[in-house]
Amino acid sequence: MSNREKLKKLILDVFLLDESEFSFDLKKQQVDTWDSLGVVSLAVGVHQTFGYHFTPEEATSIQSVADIIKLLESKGISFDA
Amino acid sequence: MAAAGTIHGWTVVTDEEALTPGVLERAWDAPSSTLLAPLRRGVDAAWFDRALAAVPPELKVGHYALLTSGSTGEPKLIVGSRARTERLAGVIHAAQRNEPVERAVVLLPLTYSYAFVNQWVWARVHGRRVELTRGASEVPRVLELLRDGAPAMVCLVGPLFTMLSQALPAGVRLESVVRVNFAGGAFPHGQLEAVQAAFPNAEIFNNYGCAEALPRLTITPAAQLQAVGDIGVALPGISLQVDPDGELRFQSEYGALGVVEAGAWRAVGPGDWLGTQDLAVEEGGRFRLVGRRSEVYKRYGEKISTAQQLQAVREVWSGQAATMPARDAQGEAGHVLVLSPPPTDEQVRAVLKVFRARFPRAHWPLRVESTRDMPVSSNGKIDSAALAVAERQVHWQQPA
Repeated sequence: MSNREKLKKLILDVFLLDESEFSFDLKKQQVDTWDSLGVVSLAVGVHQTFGYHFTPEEATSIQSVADIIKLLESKGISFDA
Repeated sequence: MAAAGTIHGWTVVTDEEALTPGVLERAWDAPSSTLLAPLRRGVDAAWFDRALAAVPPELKVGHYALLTSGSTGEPKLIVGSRARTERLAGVIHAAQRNEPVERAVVLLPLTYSYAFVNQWVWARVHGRRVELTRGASEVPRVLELLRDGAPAMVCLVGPLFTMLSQALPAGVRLESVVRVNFAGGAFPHGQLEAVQAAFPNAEIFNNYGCAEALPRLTITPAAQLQAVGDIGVALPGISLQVDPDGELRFQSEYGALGVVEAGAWRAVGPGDWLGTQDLAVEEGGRFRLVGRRSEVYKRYGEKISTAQQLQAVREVWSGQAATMPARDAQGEAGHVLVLSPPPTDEQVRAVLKVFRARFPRAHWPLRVESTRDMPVSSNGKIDSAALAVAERQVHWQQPA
């Protein structure tokens, strides 16, 4: 499974989204379940899946799936299609 | 335990002995009070000797006792009056319009107050035939009894219906059954269509009560149920109210006279209000269950009701469902939802959708798991201890 697929599965599981609701352009404000506990769950999931631990500032600054990819790429995790 | 005997002046009949025609009738007709005793681990003649020694001597005539699990999981003895219970059988008869019913086919052990009062006592008071069975242990005979014959009544719990319907050959209907009762757990809303298909001639009832009520508080035809958790209104002679903590409590003129718990007798006075351990809300004179006291715990400061969640899950999941306590990686209390039989990915998504739509994240299960066969105890209820060690497959988990 590619990192893009892993991230998609993680987002679906953390926010209980249907496949049809997901896109790599998805923004926090479009997801009703992207709440404060969701941020914690996302951070734990990213750590379990990609081995990187968001700092609290990073976790709360994320506003979209694209932000997650950008942040993880800056840590050397590749999301090439 | 030895065959029917006497302990402290009480006639003791075990659930095995109760299956022999005539044994229970003779015990009930005798002046001495009757103890209907299950054969369970940890409950033996010595236990009954201690428990019955605590019961006031004036109750040794004309009364009866059953055993139930206490709030701590320790067994407790519930003592009731034969006369009161026979009056309740008349109330049940009217509430269920049981006149056309000619026989009670008993699928649950008679040591459960549900089967004992709703079926055995009812049949005795109204001169109907009782057909005793070993329930889930002899499904073929049960199906035969229910397919043909005089109009019959059955008392079920949700998992027992699942078992029967799985054993029912395609196209076969249990046409002799004219009354189907559910009790002993949440009413199986999700299976209602299947219940009606299996019992095409039956009226279906949701029976609500608890052991200290011996056992009924409400009886509601399924057709009148307005929502998941709806238990309708109190039967005549019974009052219900929700206390300030949200627990449903009752006064009943048919209920227990007292309880022996941890070796001590606790009398129930005529005006006493007793707790049911269920959480409820009153809506326009009707009562709706929203959880169980023991099924409520706190997670991140929020009160979580697993019973409420199971009710919601049953709207989209027709198999069996249970929850188990668990802890997340931070050590915070949570729970696991277990489904049986194993669901498809689509079914798991449907269940998760319910959580997303109805509950804040703190209420979501930590995992959704499945087990091939949900372990059930002799009364058809889910066996939590066996479930905890059963082989399970993880379908979804939230990173937490």
